[in-house]
Amino acid sequence: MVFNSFEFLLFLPIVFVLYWFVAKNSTKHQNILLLVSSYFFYASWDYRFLFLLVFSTVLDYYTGIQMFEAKTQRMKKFWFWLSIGINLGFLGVFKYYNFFVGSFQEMLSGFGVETDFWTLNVILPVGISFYTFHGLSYVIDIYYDKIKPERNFIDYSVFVSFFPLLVAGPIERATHLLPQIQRHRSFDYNKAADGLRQILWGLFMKVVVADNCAIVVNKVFENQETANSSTLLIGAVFFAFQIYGDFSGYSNIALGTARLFGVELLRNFAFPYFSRDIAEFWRRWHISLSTWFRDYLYIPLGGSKGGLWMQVRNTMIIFLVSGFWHGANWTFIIWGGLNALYILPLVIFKLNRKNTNIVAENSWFPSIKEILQMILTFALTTIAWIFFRSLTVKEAWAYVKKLFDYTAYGFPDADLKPFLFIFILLFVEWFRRKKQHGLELSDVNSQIFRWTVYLGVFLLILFFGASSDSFIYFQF
Amino acid sequence: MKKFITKLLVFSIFVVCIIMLLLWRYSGYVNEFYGKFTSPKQYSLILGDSRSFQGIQPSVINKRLDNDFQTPIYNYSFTIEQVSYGEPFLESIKKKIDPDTKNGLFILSVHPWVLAKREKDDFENNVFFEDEFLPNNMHFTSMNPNPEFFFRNFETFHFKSVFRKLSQVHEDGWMEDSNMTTDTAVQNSWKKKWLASYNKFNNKWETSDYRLAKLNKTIEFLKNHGTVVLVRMPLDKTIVAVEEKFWKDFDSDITTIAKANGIRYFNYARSNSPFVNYDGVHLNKEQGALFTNALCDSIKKYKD
Repeated sequence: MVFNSFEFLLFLPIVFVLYWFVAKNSTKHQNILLLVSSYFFYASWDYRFLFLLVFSTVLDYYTGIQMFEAKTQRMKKFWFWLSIGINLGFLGVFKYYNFFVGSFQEMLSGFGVETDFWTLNVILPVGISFYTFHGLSYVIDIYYDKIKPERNFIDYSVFVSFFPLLVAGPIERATHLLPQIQRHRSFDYNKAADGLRQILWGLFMKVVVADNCAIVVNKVFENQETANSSTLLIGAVFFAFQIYGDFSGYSNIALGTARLFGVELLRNFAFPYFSRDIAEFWRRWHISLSTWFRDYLYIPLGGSKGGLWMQVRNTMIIFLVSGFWHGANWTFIIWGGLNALYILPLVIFKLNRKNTNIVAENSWFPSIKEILQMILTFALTTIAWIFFRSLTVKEAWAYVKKLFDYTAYGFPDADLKPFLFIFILLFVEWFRRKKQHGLELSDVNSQIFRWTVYLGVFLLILFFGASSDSFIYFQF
Repeated sequence: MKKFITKLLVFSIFVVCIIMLLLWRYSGYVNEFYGKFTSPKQYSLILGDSRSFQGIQPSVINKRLDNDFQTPIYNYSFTIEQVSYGEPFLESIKKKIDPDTKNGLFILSVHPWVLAKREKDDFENNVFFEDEFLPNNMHFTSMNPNPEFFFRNFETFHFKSVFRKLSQVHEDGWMEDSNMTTDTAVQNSWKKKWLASYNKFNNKWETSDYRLAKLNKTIEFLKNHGTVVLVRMPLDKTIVAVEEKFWKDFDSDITTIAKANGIRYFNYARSNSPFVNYDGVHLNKEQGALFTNALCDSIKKYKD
């Protein structure tokens, strides 16, 4: 059941009505309802993997309590590593086993040793990387005494499985989400109304921007050998907007949906393509994952405390791991590595926190310098996205090489219509860049204007929405 | 909460009104199949896949055979991706037909691919590839407006066609490609695509006695409501060659079924066929009208 499906259009109002009309007086009933709905939502993908989700939930719930109650540091450590080991073990088996086996085989083959190791023929359980990271953050926080374990199993299960974030995040923290689940939630008109606006904007980003770009992108990447450089350039730019529209659109729908139930999730995107350097881009793109790696990998590794060399090493590590988190393929690792290379000069010259404010904060339009900075940042990320999108490193490399072959430029052989949708997206987001999302209209007093915008966005979705049955990030 | 629900309802009403208006005004453009499930129950039907969907024009039949059968005839054809002769299609036909029909006309377009066993078919366990597709996933086949269609087949809508009218499905169910190219290079590339598809089918699909039996059952059912004819539509000879490679005795198998049921089989997929397929498989508006007229001649001769 994807967010842009009719099944979800039926599912959401039913849960909403039950939540606010039947279960509204009891937090316990609200949470039970959320849990049952979330498991139903997850089972609609593949009910077999529900057992894995439940097992992971029970594991972290139990080990969390055991760690807290452990009499000795040794026992605490035991429960900690047991949880980490099993969680990462599942992730390793389902997501990375075949990659490691394949890479090892290729390496041996390079030495002339032909092997035939056993590989797994399994589908990746949807959302496994997301809920595993949820669980890991909870266990790590308990281990380092940042939080106490949650004793109420229902509340904890809702924290892991809350359906808006279950399959593609944002990756929540116990310190942020659990208190919201524990306390009573009453209906807040402004929050719910803005949630609906956010859902509408998310749908526009997904079905109008991302899915229309996807049609061109798929064609270009499939025929990259015969396409000229201008076509490849358009394919690469469209992919940058496809992945943004897809994932940020998904996140907007997730956040908006959660707000309908009185829950605020962590912000995942903050208009990343208006970034003036790569460091700013990574503070604005997939924020919940970036901060997760910062808090649970970069800082424990020493962060920036051990001098420049340590900072460089740690930066490289988190970007490579982040790439690997996205998928078991060298293309993702290189994508992570490229981003690390982009950001390292800023780290070395201590320029990585230069742009922490909003671009052109006090004016309508950016300066020429800011425009050039944004274009350069976008160009760098777009080159990295080529590796993210390609099936093999070889293909990606050929694509990038051809992009820089100025003799191969010619008239582009691609549908340019998505540029219109990209323009609308950028136009709206530019003027809303100080807000939480593109359609946050809480400061617009004219109801007629607001409703005209809603209907306009709806008509864009209706007339120009393309269709796809999934979101890119579900595979991670 | 009251304010929220009220505003949401008002917005939803706006949205529903817009969609209803578009469907009322442009349903033939925005969805090829929606009209098939909002039209009333029918006396006479044209059944098959995209070959008959585009190539057999009800208006011609209504004009030519009005005195011979209970007309108007309705084109209840779909596409090769959606239908084959089998239990699910038969169930849908039963729902679409007016139960009081006694002198209807039923034109069944047949060719090897709509009678083949596909990869997903598992007849022993009642698994049919077509189960999840139109018209087989629809319970209500004559309801206007048809909300079931929205819920089950929303992805088949393309509202942008309101602006760019590439094809139109008429009220009688016939699909007219109103933006047909005359560029032979483009048409040849379409033909190549079809050839590639059929060659793929040839490798993956199997001839099926089960589906032949279901065709027989469909004929037996329809005979209770009037006259049934089987038609193999005109085809490019290269496509005929692939089909013959796949199912060598197809014509004799169909002839046997026709004889057993006392009905006629009109085979237009012969090398001397005067009709021209624009992509090797389908007939355009003009060729479709000529073909439907020829078919009417054959049916009239048979009836007399």
